[in-house]
Amino acid sequence: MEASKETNILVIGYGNPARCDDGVGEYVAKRLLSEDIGIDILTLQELGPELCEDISGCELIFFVDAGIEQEEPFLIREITPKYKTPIFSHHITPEMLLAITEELYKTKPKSYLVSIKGYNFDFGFELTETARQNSEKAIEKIKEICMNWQLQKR
Amino acid sequence: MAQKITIQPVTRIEGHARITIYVNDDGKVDRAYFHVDQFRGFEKFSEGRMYYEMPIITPRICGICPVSHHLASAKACDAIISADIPRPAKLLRELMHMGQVIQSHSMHFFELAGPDLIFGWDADPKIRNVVGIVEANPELALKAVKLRKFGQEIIAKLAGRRIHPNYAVPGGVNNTLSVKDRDELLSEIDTMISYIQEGISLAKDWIEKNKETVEEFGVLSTGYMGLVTDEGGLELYDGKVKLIDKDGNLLELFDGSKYLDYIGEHVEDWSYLKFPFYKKLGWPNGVYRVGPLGRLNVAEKIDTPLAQEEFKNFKSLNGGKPVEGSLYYHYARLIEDLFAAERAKELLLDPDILSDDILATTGKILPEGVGVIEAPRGTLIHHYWVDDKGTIVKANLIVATGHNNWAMSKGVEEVAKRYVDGKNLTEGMLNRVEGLIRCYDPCLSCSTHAVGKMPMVIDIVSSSTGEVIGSVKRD
Repeated sequence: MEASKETNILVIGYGNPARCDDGVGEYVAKRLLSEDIGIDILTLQELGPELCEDISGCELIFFVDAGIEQEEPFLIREITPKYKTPIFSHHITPEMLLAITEELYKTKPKSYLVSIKGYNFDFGFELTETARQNSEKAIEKIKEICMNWQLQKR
Repeated sequence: MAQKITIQPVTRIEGHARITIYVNDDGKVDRAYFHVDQFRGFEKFSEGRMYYEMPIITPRICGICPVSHHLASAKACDAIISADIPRPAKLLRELMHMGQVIQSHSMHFFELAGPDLIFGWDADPKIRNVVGIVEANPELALKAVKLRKFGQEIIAKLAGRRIHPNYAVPGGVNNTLSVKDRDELLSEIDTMISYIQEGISLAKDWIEKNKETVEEFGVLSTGYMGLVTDEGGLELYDGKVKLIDKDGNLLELFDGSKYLDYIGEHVEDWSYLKFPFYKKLGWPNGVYRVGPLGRLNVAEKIDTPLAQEEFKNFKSLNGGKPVEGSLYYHYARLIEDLFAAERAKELLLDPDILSDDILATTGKILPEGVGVIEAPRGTLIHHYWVDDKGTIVKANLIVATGHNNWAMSKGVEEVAKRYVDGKNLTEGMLNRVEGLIRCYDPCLSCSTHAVGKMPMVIDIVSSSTGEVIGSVKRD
């Protein structure tokens, strides 16, 4: 799934849907797209530096991923550019991606990291019911932020 | 007191990769290991699936090289249905593979190898990273990002998505390439080739200035393995498997479907990642390396002009004998990157690439099928056994990082012994140890079939007491 350039809000759902609850990011992104609320989405297994071009033209971004250490069904927090050196992992964090984007394109989209609690990360394509419920709660919060954002823009 | 140094990941889901360095009372390194602590379960997960689902399922093993798994899987499925796929389908699959190689090799150079090469091993880690490169040379960084993006655009134009493709199917592919998409890709390809050439110049300049380090860093005497064309040229999509010994002598040239006759897998109790070896030489004499260095060492030529010129230079590095230094992986990777871009251009200019003759059907189901491809990191093997309805009853996957397992572990030990001083430990010393691993560009989520994020921990352990003296964690 690729982002179009129709809106300035982008939801990036990332994680591996073949590892059960690691697929919550993709689930949330696709659910939000189906609600036709004026957003674009990207679904990916991992974030890569080339995404900086995709996000450089956005004004509001949600990075949606699975979380395991938190107690809450979902956490949402604003994030800012920050770079850490990977040693040989191919994975980069949302903060790292924002840092590359800021350096290369001189843009700094308002960004949130949405971490949805997962429970089962074994092989499989099904979310656990609890993770699905957690995702739905996160979806409502993302919609609320998007609505407020769009109202402010008018 | 003697110590142990371990480099280990902090991670939320998947297992750990870890480097353990045993240090004696004098601060000298006794031995070192590269461990992978997560077992792979994807083969078991595949059992019970229909064979034709595998090209869609297996790319989920890896977010970095999904296309390689997709195509190796499709080739195994071709074998199961005994299909000789139409030439246009083969060209289209190969084009997609070139896109994968371009994006993967370009990213590695920019994100993982580049910071060491540009800033040096001992540079402040705060600047020794991608952002540091962006600040120091934004033009280069932008080109690297565009290269990666271009590789992904090739994949996206064929498969409709750039990460997990649903394109190759048993017997061919499921979509043609439009004239518009072909022309769009062609319009950019020469620019991309020039970007890669700039990267090669940078790498060669670094090698020249750091010749002494390059010639002593992670130099290992091993065999090498990779696919070659019928004429012995570099091959990434198809061809025969060629194995050479440490001196460059031919050991074997075989059809990939016979890999079990030649490749065994050794198990060590300190790593879940198995150690493949050449059976006739046994373990450990039969260890070999794969990936860019392995492929260029087994190849006798490259069939695209610009890459061939660089290849001649590569071959001259050791008088025609295999090039052994691990740091040469970076140079070899960029030569392959250049080949991939040139080959993509050739494929796009082939009139058959626009043909709609893209699928062969047979109605047959054979009991097993093997697909072999050169993934960016090395030879990737998918082997499926099916029942008479096509249900997978057993699967075996050997991934590139696995083939290089011995070399990474031995290389870590060699580099640690050469550079690490347990009594005066510096960040730069540990960065060199990590840098050895970066040469091989391991895909640990691939090799363990884990979720995808695989950071690392370094442990320092006393050789005499076994006590962990210190630990350095890296996200």
